[in-house]
Amino acid sequence: MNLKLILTIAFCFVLSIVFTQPIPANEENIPFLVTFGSSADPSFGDDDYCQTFFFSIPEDYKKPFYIRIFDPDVGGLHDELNKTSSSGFNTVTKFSLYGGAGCISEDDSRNIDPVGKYKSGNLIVSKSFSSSSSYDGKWISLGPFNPAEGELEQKYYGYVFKLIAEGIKGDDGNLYKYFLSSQYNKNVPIEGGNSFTFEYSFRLPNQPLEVSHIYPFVNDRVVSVKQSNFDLDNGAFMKLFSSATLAHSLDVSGDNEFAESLYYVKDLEKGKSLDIQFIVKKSKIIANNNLVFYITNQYGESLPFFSIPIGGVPKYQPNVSITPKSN
Amino acid sequence: MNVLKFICLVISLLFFRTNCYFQEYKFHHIDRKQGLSHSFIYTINQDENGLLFVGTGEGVGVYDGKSFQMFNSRNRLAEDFISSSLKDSKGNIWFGHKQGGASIYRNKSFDIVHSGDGINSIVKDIAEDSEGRIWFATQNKGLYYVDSSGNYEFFLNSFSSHLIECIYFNEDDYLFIGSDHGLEVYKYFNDENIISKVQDISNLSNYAIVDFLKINKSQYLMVSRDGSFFKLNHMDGLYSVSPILVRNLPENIIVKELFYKNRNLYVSTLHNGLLNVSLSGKSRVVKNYNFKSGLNTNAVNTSFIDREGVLWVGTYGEGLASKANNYFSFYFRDKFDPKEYTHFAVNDDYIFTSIESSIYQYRKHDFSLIKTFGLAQHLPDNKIVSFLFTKDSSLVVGTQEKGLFIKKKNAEFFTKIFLSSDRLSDNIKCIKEIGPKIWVGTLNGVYKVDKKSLGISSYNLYNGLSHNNVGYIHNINDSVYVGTKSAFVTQFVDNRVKDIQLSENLNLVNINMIDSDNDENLWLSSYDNGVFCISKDTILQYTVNQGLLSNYCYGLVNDSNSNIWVSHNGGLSKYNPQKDRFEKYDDKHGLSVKFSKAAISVWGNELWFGTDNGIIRYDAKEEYLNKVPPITSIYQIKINDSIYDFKEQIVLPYAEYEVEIINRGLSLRKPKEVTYSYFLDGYEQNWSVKSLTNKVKYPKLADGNYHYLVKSYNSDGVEGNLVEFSLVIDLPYWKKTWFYLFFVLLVVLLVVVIIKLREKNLIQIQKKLEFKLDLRTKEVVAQKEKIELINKDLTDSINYAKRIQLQLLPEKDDYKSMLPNSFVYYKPKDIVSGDFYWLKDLGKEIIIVCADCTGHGVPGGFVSMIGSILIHEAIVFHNQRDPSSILRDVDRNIKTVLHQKNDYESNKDGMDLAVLNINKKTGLMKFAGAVRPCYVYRQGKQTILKGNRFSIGGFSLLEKVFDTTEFQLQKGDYIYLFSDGYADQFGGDDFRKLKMSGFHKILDKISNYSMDQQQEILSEEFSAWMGENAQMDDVLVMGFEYS
Repeated sequence: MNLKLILTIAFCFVLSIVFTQPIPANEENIPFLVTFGSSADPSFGDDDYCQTFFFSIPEDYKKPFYIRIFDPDVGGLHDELNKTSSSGFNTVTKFSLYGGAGCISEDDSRNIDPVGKYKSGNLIVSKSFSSSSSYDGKWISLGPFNPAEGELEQKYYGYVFKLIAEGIKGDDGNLYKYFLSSQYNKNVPIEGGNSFTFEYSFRLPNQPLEVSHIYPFVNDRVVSVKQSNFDLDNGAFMKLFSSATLAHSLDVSGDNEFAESLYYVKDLEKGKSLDIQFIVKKSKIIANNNLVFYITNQYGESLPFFSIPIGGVPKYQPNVSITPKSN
Repeated sequence: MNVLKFICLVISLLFFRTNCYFQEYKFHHIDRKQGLSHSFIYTINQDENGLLFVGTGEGVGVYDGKSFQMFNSRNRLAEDFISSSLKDSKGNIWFGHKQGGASIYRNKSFDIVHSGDGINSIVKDIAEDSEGRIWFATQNKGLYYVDSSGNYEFFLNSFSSHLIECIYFNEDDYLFIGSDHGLEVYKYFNDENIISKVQDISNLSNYAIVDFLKINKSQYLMVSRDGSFFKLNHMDGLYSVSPILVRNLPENIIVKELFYKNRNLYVSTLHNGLLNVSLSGKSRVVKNYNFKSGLNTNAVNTSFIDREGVLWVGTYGEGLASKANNYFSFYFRDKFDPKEYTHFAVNDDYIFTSIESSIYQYRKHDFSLIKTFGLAQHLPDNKIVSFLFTKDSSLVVGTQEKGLFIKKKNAEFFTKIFLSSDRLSDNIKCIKEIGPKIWVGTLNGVYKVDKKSLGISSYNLYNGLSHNNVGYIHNINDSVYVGTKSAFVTQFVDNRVKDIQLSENLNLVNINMIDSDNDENLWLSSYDNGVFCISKDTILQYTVNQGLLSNYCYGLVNDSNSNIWVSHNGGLSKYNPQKDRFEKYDDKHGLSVKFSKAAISVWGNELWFGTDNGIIRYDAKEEYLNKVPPITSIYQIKINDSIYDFKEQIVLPYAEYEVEIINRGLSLRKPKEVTYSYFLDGYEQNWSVKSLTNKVKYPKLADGNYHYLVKSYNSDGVEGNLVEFSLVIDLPYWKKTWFYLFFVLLVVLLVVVIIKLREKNLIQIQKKLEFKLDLRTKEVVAQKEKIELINKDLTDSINYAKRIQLQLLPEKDDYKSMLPNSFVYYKPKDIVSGDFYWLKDLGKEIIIVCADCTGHGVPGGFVSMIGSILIHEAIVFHNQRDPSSILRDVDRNIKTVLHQKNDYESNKDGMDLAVLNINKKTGLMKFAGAVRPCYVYRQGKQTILKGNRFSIGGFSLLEKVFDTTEFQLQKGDYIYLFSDGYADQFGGDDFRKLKMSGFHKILDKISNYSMDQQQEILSEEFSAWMGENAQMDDVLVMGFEYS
């Protein structure tokens, strides 16, 4: 009897993992998103102290939803203290949710850098978090929100909301995660919901040879893509995988520098996601390695990375041709 | 053991806290079932017609109390998403949208004010300035207004660095803008069309001011997103704000909006539901409407109190909820683990109540548990039946079997007060603080405990108490009344004890509770005997016969409105002294619980009752008649399945119509209890009786003028406005004046045409006739001449016959010689006459005959010739002298001559005769008449000698008998014989026969004249009577004077 109960609980737990909708996604194997305080040195791994994520809610979803943030403040186990400063955790992170017209349709909002009208749209909620033990290791919820308050963009599959995390103060790194949830106090995914960003600031795993994935979507207009990464500290290899390419190497940045490389998109790759893999070097282990990554097309337009890859995780399809044996 | 019990208590308390709702209100939830297509409500407003306008993320829902009708961009709204609304001074409702657009509802329809193009920022608030301009505040694109002429002005970049949340124009036309940077004061200069900042409210710059409103003539209130309240001050031309402390506010609230009405502030919060803040005295949260208390969510976006006082709650994701009459609120109801609440104490902020062996202190507005007094404070493990806080803040607790306990102010533990060594003194029934003493009712009488020294004195059966089993103790001024289990109430006053007998008929009355009203009447509740009221003069008993819900009464209390409340097992009774009657509150009001004895507490308008399953609060403010009349309107007019707009008059062409009218009486408090009465003048005689049906159908309306009137009544019978319209169904063309005129003209024309045609035909016929006439005339003339010739021959012949006939009549000289004073008025109808007379002087006798033969003219003349000859023969040749013999002789001979037989086929020609034989010497006159009479006048007196009723000649079934009548004449007698020609003549004014009566009058008249004059008068009278008429018969009148 007790065994049955335990098995049932375990099954439910497994199910909750399968259906959770965290950002970063489980399959990305990215431990945390990261945003540093505005006084931090960019060499810590954040070039602009700002991270913008977009959430899309299906148009037919009419119920309240919540954006949950894991460990939204600095301090505790998960955040990065600037050990060069004696002030302790001093970063204040402000999370602001935008919806309405211009939320994503405004060009600046999709820009790599937080310049111009990147805060376009209607501000729905804004909350700042400074160091507090009450948030350490806990999920907090923003919301409820009405899906209809977003900007309806069929291109992004529904109502789009924009969540900007800004390190408005301090010099420490705030490591956090998001979850798009249908419930206030639980991580319950919204069916059909998705999230994406145009610039990813995240932390790599510490374990050698561990692989993190990012899945930029390539539409049929894309001829070539240019990946850019910042402050990877040469701590990982970068490989591009797709349905047509197997382990195409990409340039890797060093400390406090940008690196970029060009890749020409094949026909088979259009309308699908690419798989950019970050493989932690065994030979050079960089603990708590934070980096910034983005990718642009031939027009310089940034491409979105979806937490749930459009078209699924790309699977390499080798082009094997069979020729009849000649006599 | 005690530790174990304490743990059990804690566990049960945790279980209790998690398995029941603290407070429940009866909310009516409105969502998709009623047609509200979107569950996120952003704004609520009400128009002049009472319709509720609910702004959602997918349009405006218009609610009439029964269902929603949704309007969106397909119905002339600028956008689907409604973010804000404002009802302006003209009654129009303005809506702001998500992308900056604006719409208006006026004249019963929506219209686009601004599409939002170029703005693309949510309209957060709308305000009206003194000039009637409507200002729209967008979150990050500034302001724009539209004036009464529809002109726009934009101030889009003036506030680019601020995220605007709310705006407000005060009476001085200062514009207050709340934003994430606090509050700023602006002034709009119309002439230059600019907005200038007048002042920053500096100490608010760290607050996001989300709402700003006016709460009375000079006071303004604002709130920040995090729930900080401020009031606006104005001094020396500068505005400043000062914080308002609102007590009982939940922590970490996110305020969405404020709504203020009747000194009540409603604060919509995102995570804490709707907070009802009382601004009377110390501002504090008095109610919290949230998920636990009956809402479907804690996320409340907006709220609204409508014209009838109904609270509407617009939630964020769970639709709309309303709360109307809700005078009973329920707390801590738990169907799985009910708890009995045995005693109460209530104040503004806290509720103290006892459950089992503990006393719990709850915060009143959210029922959070503040403190517990129980085993840990050394209270015994025994049911608490009563407790009180003394004026010196000591807490005194009475237990069911373990005695009395006291905890002095600041003391940590309770200590027992030893009342007596008798075990029954530990059975506490009630506690009352009276002056310096605490009176304690027990099963062993009453004990008085001195609050300072805790010294004891007691009353029992042996020193004046009516019974040791004490029910309740109550005091009025210095008099203390103790209700016991007896038929008496014991009164203590000035150390004197007096028993008041409740009823002579009752031996035992078990008093449960006592209270007094404002007139110092004492009210007592009893077990099985109802309620007693002891006044100075009388004791009245109230039972179920007087309207009490039950005779088993437990708690009793006098409320702030002087009503007496009595609790029972399954309900409450309220005695209203003004109406002198009881009102019952039972399971219809959700009161199907057993009320605990003595668990009643009054606080202001509130009554709190402890029951065997939770707490019930009664709020007198909530129980009132709805005096707001419903708004009557006509929702739809359907005529022959076509929908018509409502207007004052509907005119229809002639036909028979089926008319269906849907009336609407808007009373959102109890919309399903609105009743209607209507009257179609012209179709019905009277108003219909009130009914819940709002649909009226008239299956067959023909032409006519109808006037429809309808009134609605709210659930309390208050009459709404009258709505009416005229329905004119045109007359058919054949009933119209023009048709009548046309018809008359047509008839006239037709007549004229017919006449003309006839005239034409007649003329033609006339011409033909004239032609024929000419022919005929010529023929006629020829025949006439021929006839004239014949006629002349005939006339000559007849004239000759006349001469012959005249020659047969006596010569005038002979006649005169025989009857010297006589006349003969002889007037034949034609040339020859059927009448004749015959005269013969036979020496001694004279025989006179007057004859009227059958027919006249030639036939008459023939018969007269025969008659004259036969008379002559009878008299002269047959020597007949007797008149009757003469008649018989003539009769016999005429039959022979005319070959008459006694049958019907023979001719009937003959004559009527009057025969006189006058003896000259003696004057004896003998008369015989065949039908004809003889009249004799003697000195003006008439004597009639009647003849026999047989004519001469012809057939008679009877044998003819002719009698001779003798009459002795005297000199001077006038004798008249005559034919019937004179009397049978038609004439006079009315063309009738003269008759014998008229003839008699003429004879009477002439009998005084001479014979010549008589003849002359007879002739004149006859001519006068006949006039222009033709003579009907031959006329013969003979008259003579006997001398």
